[in-house]
Amino acid sequence: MKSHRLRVGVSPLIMPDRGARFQRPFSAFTLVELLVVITIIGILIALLLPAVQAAREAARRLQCQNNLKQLGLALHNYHSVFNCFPAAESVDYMNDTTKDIRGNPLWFVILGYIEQNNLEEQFDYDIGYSNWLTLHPEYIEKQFPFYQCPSDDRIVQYSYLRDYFGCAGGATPANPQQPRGFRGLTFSDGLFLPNRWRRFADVSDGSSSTFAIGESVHVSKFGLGPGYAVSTQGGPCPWWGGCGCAYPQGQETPCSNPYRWSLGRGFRSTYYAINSNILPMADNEDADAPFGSYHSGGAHFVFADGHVGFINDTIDMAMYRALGSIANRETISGVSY
Amino acid sequence: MNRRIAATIEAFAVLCLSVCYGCGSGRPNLALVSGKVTYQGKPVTEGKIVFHPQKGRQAIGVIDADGNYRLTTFDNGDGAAPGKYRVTIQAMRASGAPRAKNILDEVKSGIKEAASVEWIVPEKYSRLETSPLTAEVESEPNNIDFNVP
Repeated sequence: MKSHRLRVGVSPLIMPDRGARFQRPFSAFTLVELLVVITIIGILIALLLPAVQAAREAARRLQCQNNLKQLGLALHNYHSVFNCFPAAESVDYMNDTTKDIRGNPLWFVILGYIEQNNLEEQFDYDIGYSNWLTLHPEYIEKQFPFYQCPSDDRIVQYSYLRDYFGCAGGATPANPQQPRGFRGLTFSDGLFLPNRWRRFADVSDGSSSTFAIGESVHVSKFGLGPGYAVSTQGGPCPWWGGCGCAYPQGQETPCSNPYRWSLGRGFRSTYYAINSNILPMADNEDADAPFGSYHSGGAHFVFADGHVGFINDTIDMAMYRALGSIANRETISGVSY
Repeated sequence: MNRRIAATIEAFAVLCLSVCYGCGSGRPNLALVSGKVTYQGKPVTEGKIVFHPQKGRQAIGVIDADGNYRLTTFDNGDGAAPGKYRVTIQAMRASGAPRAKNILDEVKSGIKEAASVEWIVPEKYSRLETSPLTAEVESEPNNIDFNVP
């Protein structure tokens, strides 16, 4: 006579029954069956997880592209108003050469064109960002999500990081006799340089093949080495970091000598390839940091015409530098990168 | 039953691997490149060495305290694509102003002029236009030493 308990499906492994010891239960799972089912479900989840992660990363990339697009539109709106692009940094307090020469970076100037008029109106263009932030320390660690790529996890820890950097050239040295400034390589052919207000007419390589702003996470991705500030702080890239010019000497006007440009806080050159790991960086090399991103295989750029493109890290260096320069007479067809 | 479980785990592992595999990225085949950099017979103790190709992406190597380097093109130590390269060596030391310790200090500190830059290898070798160094990477692991006179 069979046990009733077995018929309701309780496994003999869980509820051993003397009478049922040598009988095969009709409606119960054995341990092996259970394991097989769990394994199959596990495999299905394992198949699904990468797809879910990829979808999340795709959404983050889209967000990043959108941020860059907004910056591109802001540059265009600025150009419509002033008939020029903003300078990387404008320094015009000529008589105040005793202070450090840090003027008004691009990142403040375009705030009014990305719906941050309130902050832009508070900013004092007469004293420069460094002095202004000492008066308004509450903005030093303020987070601006439109300056951040969501794929950069470190924004959780360092809320003030900025992932986007203006392009300061990369093909033609600013001073061929002395290409290395006191803070790294300087170039004369980028869209953004200190006290240079470019117009569309200056971009004779074509605005659709010239970088305006791109992603750079080098410092947060690789650390900075024994250089500027503390590497764990994210190095020289808070949102407000523009560039500066060291004290002019003799008859120089501020920012007239490329040797004294300090660009690494807000601008990048295309001299080194995307996502080059060029650690360790010394304190006199921080303008050498490359563009790069946490997206696999390249980085996003917004071009001078406002379109956003993804540049692969396998791009030819001559092509990459040509894209970084505004007027080097290269012809680049749109399909070649 | 143990063998069955083992077989299941094995099948699972194979499946996982096959999911992970197959993410080719169109990157070129690379060959390992390492070597030693010396200046006037003595090892160069810091700096970086850059291989500039005719076409494609640079390969960069950091020079360690013994003067050894290993080139990286994409991922750490993966080498360089076979071909001819022009080579620059940038090795210098800056003795400068004390560094700010955090963001707040940094705002207050202002720009300090780096006191001086001392080139361990002459500056001429750090610039693409003036560096006379060249190298050829072959498809096998390469050992390329540079002895800058």
